[in-house]
Amino acid sequence: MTGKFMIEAIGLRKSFADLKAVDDVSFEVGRGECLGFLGPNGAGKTTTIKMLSGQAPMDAGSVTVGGYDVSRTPRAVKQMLGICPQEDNLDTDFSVAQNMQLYASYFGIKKRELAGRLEKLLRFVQLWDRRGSDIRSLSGGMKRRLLLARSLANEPEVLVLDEPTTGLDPQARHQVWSVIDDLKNGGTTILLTTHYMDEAERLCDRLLIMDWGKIISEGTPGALIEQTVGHDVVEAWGDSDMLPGIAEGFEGEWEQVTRRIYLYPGSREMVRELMDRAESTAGVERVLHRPASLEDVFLRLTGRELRE
Amino acid sequence: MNATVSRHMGATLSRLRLSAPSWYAWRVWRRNQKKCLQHWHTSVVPPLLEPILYLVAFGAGVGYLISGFEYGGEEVRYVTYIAPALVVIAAMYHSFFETTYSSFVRMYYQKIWDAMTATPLSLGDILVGEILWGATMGTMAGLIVLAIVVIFGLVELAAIWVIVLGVLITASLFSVIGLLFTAILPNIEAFNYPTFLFVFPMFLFGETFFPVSVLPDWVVNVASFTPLYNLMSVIRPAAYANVALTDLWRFVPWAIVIPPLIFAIHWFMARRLID
Repeated sequence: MTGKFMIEAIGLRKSFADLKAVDDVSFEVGRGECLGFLGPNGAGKTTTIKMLSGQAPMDAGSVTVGGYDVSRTPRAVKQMLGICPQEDNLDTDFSVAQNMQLYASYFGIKKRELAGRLEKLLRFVQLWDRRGSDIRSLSGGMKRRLLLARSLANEPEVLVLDEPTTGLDPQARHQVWSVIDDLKNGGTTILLTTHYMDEAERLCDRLLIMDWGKIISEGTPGALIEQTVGHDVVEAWGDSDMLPGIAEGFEGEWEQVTRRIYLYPGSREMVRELMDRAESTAGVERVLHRPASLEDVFLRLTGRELRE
Repeated sequence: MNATVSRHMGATLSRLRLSAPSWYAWRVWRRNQKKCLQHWHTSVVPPLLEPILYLVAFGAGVGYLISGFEYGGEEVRYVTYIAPALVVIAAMYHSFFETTYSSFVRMYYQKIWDAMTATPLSLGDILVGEILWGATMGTMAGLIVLAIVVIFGLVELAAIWVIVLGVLITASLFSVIGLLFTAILPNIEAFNYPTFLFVFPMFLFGETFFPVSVLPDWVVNVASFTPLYNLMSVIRPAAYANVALTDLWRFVPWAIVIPPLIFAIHWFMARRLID
């Protein structure tokens, strides 16, 4: 094993026709770290993940996982990766337990070898009671949890989660989160992509924000908020023609989206001042002061227009 | 091969989106086998019944109209004429359908290959595993029919190993041809083309139910380029135990064409699936 990083990606590039899906992306992930990829749809998150897991060839660059080069020794890399895909690709011809056994067999793990772990993994995702069930009878949340358990069948050193909670209800999300928490505490290196800021804030030690195929910002959730928008946000809504009046003479960052204005004051005094000003502006219906969140960072950095 | 050379080879293959197949292919074969054994009767009963129906309809029915005819200088019964053809047809159909419709469903609808590529299995392993499985299904079907015609005493046993070898080659070849169509054709409806324009004409004109030589020369010329016609030209004499070892060369082209076809499948599949 070389280097102190579990994953080292250097200068990854990939184009589809004339679209640069991933454009010179470099990063590293420490052993036991949980790194989150944030970005709008089409930012290049999934493509990056597919390249580093050997599922898509790269146009340029290199990735090593646990010291193994992905394009030269893909089998060695995949043997230590657990991949939980965005799309459900469970084997509908087999039951819950059989899905686990089959997937393990692709890694060369025999049924007997898995036996002890099978119960542990299925209990871990609360599917032990459903072990004999047909895949088609599972709910969306159960399928997600099974995909997660399946990706752990080979006891991976690195877990890759592509939007692990997209489409789940709040109960199911919290369940998946607590499973991921346990894995983190167990020392598994985790790489995850997500659209949900609360998820990123809760689970990730460090975040990479991607857009247009590039990494546009990087840091711990707290540092990213601090650097990009500061502590506070003053938000006001009302008559769109009157809103810019609040920002008159204000030297900090602000932006307006139709009937809403977001102001990012740098200090307590400025919060007070902006609140007063907003409250006394004609046509303003409501004024709100709240702590800045990752969502503010995300929207600040990647804009508010729809991408697809 | 030293480690550096093999690593450089790995990088080159990866750039070409190709991957060398390995013994891991059997893990793919095992998956399909497990699925098949869950409903083993569906893969055993039809190939068991089909030839019996054929034998009754063509052997007893059509055969009733034909008092017997001359083949290879001898007077033969019609039912013994078609018996070896039924064996080969079963091998052809069952392997071809396995790697067309069934493989396409696994690849496109069930996303089973998708899940496999996240594991140490390479695309090469998956394709070779599917081909081995298609060949297995074709061989099993062919051997079941062979057992039946043997029980009915319709083939001679002296050169039966030639028929078994013929079944293996037929099943392997059509398994590969089927997967090539799966690599190229855009959707499952398009399989109607090879099924009705390639396999079905061979079923009829591949020296199966009548000697093609009774038809105009151009038909014979076209037929002589098809695999079934050529395979039958060795297998039928074997069923009458009058095959010479030197006739076996006719198997050779259809066996050696298999590896380049597998390469072609890998090439097209990589471009279809990887990116």
